[in-house]
Amino acid sequence: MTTETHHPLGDWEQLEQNTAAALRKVFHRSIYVRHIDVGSCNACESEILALSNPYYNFHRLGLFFTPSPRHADLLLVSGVVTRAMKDVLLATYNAMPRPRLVVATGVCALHGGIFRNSSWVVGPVDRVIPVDAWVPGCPPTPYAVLQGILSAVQHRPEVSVCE
Amino acid sequence: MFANWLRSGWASGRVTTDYPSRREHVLEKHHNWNIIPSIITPCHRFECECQDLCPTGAISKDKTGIQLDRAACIACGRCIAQCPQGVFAWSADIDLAVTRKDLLRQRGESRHDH
Ligand code: SF4
Ligand code: SF4
Repeated sequence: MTTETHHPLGDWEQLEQNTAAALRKVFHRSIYVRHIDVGSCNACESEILALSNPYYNFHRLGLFFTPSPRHADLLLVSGVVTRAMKDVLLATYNAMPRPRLVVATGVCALHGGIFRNSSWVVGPVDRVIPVDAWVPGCPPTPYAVLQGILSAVQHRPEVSVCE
Repeated sequence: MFANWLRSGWASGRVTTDYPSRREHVLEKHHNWNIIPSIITPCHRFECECQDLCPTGAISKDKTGIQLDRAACIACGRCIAQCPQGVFAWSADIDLAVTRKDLLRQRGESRHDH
């Protein structure tokens, strides 16, 4: 066999570009969502759960819930951060691979809402972790949650891998 | 019951919403939903107590007029029921999510401001 001047797979740069294009195609708008409740009244959960029913059907957009933050691209936080859940929220956030996105859902997560004066409350979500998209409403409609997730994903190119 | 669902789904020809690909269509269909209050006219009355009426402190007033922080509004409807000037009205905005929190602050600017 003669030594080949070219790699059998062709130009490395070309290969890299093709792989990147294929990966983009495979992962196009596909996002795994981890939902965490850090002190909500469960009305927000009810609306978030409605996203996966046949009517709102967020799977058609390539969005899926995952039970583990290790597999998640996006953290959906609902409720005001309570003292008991602050460390859990931080641990969940730190367990996520980078780049990671955070969407705060509901007035509680944005501002504190009706629980803001409680002594067991740390504060809104942005006091603990950085937030990419804000979804107002008490509870927000599933449309608003969906739009929050999509706007955070569109925000994604601005998220650097090394943070 | 399940048969009824199937039948109504077939009859309407639609089981899944087409948001966001046909956003306008969805907004049109929900135009009568009471989602969140919105300031429709500016207000400079300091004698009212809508700030104290609001359970989450979403309403604030200063020299420039009235402000509604939609990041804090729980849509209880008290301000709409109590305001004698009709400053607030229900709006049907279903997609309010933003990537900057300050965009949620709504101002009722006066046209006579200098
Ligand atoms: S925002 Fe409203 S609905 Fe959501 S958890 Fe807080 S009180 Fe409940
Ligand atoms: S609807 Fe309720 S929470 Fe919202 S601004 Fe009016 S009084 Fe405040």
